[in-house]
Amino acid sequence: MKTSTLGKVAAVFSIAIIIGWGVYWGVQVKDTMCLLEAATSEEMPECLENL
Amino acid sequence: MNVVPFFEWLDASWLASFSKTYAGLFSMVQAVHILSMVMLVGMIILGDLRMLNIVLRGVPSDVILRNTKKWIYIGLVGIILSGIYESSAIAMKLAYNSFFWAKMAGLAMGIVFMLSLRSAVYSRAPEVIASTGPKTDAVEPWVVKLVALTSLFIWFSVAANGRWIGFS
Repeated sequence: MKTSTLGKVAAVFSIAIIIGWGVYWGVQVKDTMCLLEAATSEEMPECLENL
Repeated sequence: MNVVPFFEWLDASWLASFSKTYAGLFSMVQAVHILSMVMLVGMIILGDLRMLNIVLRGVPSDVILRNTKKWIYIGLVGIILSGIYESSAIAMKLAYNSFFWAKMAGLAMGIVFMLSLRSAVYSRAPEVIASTGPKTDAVEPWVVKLVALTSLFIWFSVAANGRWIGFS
């Protein structure tokens, strides 16, 4: 593979991974934090309605 | 694809009954798993931070990459083997655990990324090329740094997801 092509492919994939994986992982962490809050609080947190 | 039957098979296997019976051995394998993860991610972080010009600036990049390679593979074999043993003991819990699947996805992505783009880009990084070939073949420095950041992000998420399995 040409160096210039490799550079472009690497840049595109890196940005896609950071954004895509970041969004997926962020949502998962948010949902888990919500479940943890629900497990420890007496009232039902609002975030549970969006799960 | 339904993978639950595989976990049911694993849960009923001789390996599962062995790992469930000997709790002391399970703890030791857990320690091996964590040590392997530390070695794998530690070596990767070392290479990535060097490419970001944060650590060991006085040491040539290619020397660091060459010397960490073997330990990365040893760490990888360690986490996979110890991970299979550990997962046999809690197979049905893991089958429905979203952080386990996130860790597996991150691990697969990290391995593919490391063997393909990370390896290819680092071997054509300006500093590495300077000592091995013509500078015209070098990848742009910002691409090298972007790849290093992506690698750090992937492996951090793998380690964090693995830790989170225990809390979920």
